[in-house]
Order: sequence, then structure tokens, then C-alpha cells
Amino acid sequence: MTTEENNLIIAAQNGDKASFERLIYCYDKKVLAIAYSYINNREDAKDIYQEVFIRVFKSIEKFQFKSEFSTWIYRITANVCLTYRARRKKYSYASLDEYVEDEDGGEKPFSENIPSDLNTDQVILNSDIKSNIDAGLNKLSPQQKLVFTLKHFQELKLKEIAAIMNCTEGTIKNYLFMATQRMREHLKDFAA
Amino acid sequence: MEHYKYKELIQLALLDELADNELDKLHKHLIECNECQLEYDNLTKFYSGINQKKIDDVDDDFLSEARQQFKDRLNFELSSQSFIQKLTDFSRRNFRIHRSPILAGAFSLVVGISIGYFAFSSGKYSINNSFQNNNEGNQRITNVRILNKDTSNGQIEFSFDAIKEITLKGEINNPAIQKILAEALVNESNPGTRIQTASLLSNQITDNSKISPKVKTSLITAMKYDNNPAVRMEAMKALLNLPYSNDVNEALLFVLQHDKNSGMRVTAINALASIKPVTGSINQETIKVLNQKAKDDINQYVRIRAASLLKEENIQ
Repeated sequence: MTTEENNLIIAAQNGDKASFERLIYCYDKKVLAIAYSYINNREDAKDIYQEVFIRVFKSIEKFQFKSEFSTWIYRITANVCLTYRARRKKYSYASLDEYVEDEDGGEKPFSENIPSDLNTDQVILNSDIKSNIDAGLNKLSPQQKLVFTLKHFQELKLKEIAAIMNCTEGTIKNYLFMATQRMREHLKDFAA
Repeated sequence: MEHYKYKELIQLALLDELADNELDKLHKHLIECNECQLEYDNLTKFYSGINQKKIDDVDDDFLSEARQQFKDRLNFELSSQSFIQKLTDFSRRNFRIHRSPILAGAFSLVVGISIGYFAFSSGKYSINNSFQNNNEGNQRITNVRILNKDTSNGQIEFSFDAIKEITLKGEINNPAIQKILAEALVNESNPGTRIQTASLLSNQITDNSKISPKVKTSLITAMKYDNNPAVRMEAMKALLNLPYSNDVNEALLFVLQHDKNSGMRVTAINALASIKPVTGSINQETIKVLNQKAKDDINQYVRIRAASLLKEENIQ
């Protein structure tokens, strides 16, 4: 933590709104990125962003410099993500019976568009697989989803994720292994 | 080591989370084990597929929207804080940092004295202590503004609006009562209150009343400009109870010329007919207005009355 950051924190704790804004602008892009990668919807991500920084604002005076300020903010972000209930159901699940356009311009069920000779891992290489990944992520527990998101989409180290989620590294590894296994199983369904 | 353990190591290796010694161990195993090598290849493909989902950096517009919405929410949260919350936050913030029991004590003392002063004193806005039967109610404190955040010298400075209900009882000639009624007549937002105030004045004012210039000015202002015709009418009645004066005459001419309410114009022209200047003759300005009204007022009564007044003066 730099001296400047320390000063900003102290000023913010004393109620200086300008210092508070300067302080959070150092981290808010990352917070929004985490929220967006977790929830996959801009409006909900902005809701999470708001909630995170309102909590930061209300509790900044309790920050006692025992951890990095960034870790403290990301921990709040993780808590908000884990307890967040999306405003709307907006994840679209691809139905295997849904008719989609094939390469010849005709239509056939989505399931028939998946080549039968591909294994699970090859299937996910298809460019339109993102929605299937979203669907798979939504089947995970909030903790598994958050760990998977932070690791793969935010590229945080397991140690950092453990600090943010206030768990041991071993617990984080377990969440990650379980999440990976379930994601592979989920994506395997699309190839069946 | 069993296969499932190696499979976990494969995951960690691909995520760059494996220590060097474990990485060596894994590489040795992969050379010997086809099953784990296949797992390694499949997982590599799986991760490369997952990486396609990787979200691009948050763009500036997205971030700006989020920041703006947060600012709005923060302002809302701050504005909805109660006085007690603000005071508590202020004290907690300052005394948590300094951790000084002396300062905390000083703060408590200042707050206590302030509350005591405003709760039990007669108030800063001293109307007139000689009033009998004045009954002061509780006051409401709003709009607290912290003026000095530096409490290092043990001093706390803030201002606030203290709203206090006060009951007055007295005669119309009392200057303090007149002052309040004059204020109410032009500044009270509730038209009902303004009507009551004007009506009170019109009922109480007589030729012998000692009315302050402020009350007279307020009545003239209300008669000319209040957007409620009932207020204008009551104000006119009150003014007509006063002895003749040029400023009242001018105000009546103004009403006759500009008021869109024909009832007001009728009353004004009747008033002009009933109040006479000490000299006994009407002035040139009045003659000019009456001439104009006799010709073009849309109300027939006003036209006829204006003409008759001019005739009485042998002008037409």
C-alpha cells in the first residue's frame, strides 16, 4: 500500500468524499470486470458495482489496514456477487431441439449441428459455445462459479482468490476442481 | 501417486499454479502414462475453449455509466441520512481516528449544550418577550452543515436550521404580530394561510389602527400580485379600511388596469369612487385610467362606472 493510498484512505475515513472517489477509481474497473464476468449482464454488473461501493463507503471507517485495501474491496465484491440475485432471468439456454441455420443455408436441430466425432473438449472450441459456457456456469454453486470466473476470466492466482474469498487455498482448489469437472460434464451434454 | 491426483496436478499445471518440483514429477508421469497424457491434451483444449469466453476489458462507457449510477446512489444515500445519523457518523469518524476521550467528551458536551439550549431556551428569534401567554413548542432541527472538519483543537463547528412552533396572542397594533402577519401574507406558500391572514387583517384593521409600513406594503403587494384572487380581494378590503393615501390609490388604479378578474376591477373602481383624497379632486393619473376603462374594459359595469365617475368630476 503506497503512502498516497494510505492518505486517501484516512481522508475517506474522515468523510472526504473527493478522496473516497479517487480511492475507489483505482479499483473500480476491476470490480466491474469481476462483476460482469460473474453475472454476464451489464445492468446486473452495474448493480453489483453500486452495491460494492456503497458497502465500501459505509464501512471504510472500519478498515484497519490489516490487509491490502484492494483485497478488502475485492472481498466485498466477492460477497456481493455470491449473494446477488439477478434482476431478471436473462441467460438463454440453447435447446438441442432448437432449429438453427446450417452451413448450407438450411435449418436443422442444434444437436445435429454438433459433429458426432468430436469429443467434449473439441466441442467447446466452436465459436458459438459461449452461451453454453454461460449455461454451464449457471449450474455451478455461487462459490464454484466465482472461483472459476476469477481464475479463468480474471486470471487471479489461487492465493489471491483465497484471500478474497477468505478461504484456504485448499478450499479454493476444491471449488475449482469441482467446477471444472461439472463444466466438462455440462459441455459433454451438448455433444451427446 | 494415484491417477486422480495427477489429474489435479494437470489442472494446476495448466493454470500455472504448480510448484517446480511437482511440475517435474508430473512431466515424468506423463511420459509414462497414456491416460494422463490424454487427460492433459483434453484439458488443454477445454481451457482454450473456456478462454474464448474471456470477457474483453471493461470499456470506458460501461465504466462511466457504472460510476455515474453509483454517484447518484451515493448522493441519495447521503441525502436520506437523518440528522442523528449525520451527527453520529461525524462523531464516530472523528473520534475513532483520534481516539481521544477528551475530544469525545468535548464533543458530547457541545452537542448536549446545543440540544439543551435549543430545547429549553426561548430561541434565537426573539419575537417579543413581553408577550403574555406565548407558548413555545418543540423545535425541529434540519439542514445540518458541518462547517469545520478539523477537530484537532477540540472545537466543533456546525450550523443548522432550528424550526420551532411558537404561539402568539396579542392585539393587531402589536408590531411583532404585524411583522409575522406581513411576512405570512407575502411569503407563505399555502394560499389558504394567505387568505386567512389577509382576512384577519381586513377584519382587524380600522381607521385608528397603528399599522406599520411593512404591513401596508405587504397588503399592497398581495392585492397587486398574489395569484389567488381571494387573497387579492381580502388584501384590498384591508387596505380600504385604512385612511386614504396615494400609494393605496395607485395600487387600486393598478388593479383596475391590470387585474384580469372582473370582480377585482369592479371592487377597485368602487373603492376609487368611495375613497376621496383630502383635496376632494381626483388626480390626472386616475382620470387617464378611468377614461381608458370607460372606453375599452370588457366588463360593462366597469365601463359605465368609470364613465359615471368622470361625469361626477365633470371631466367627460
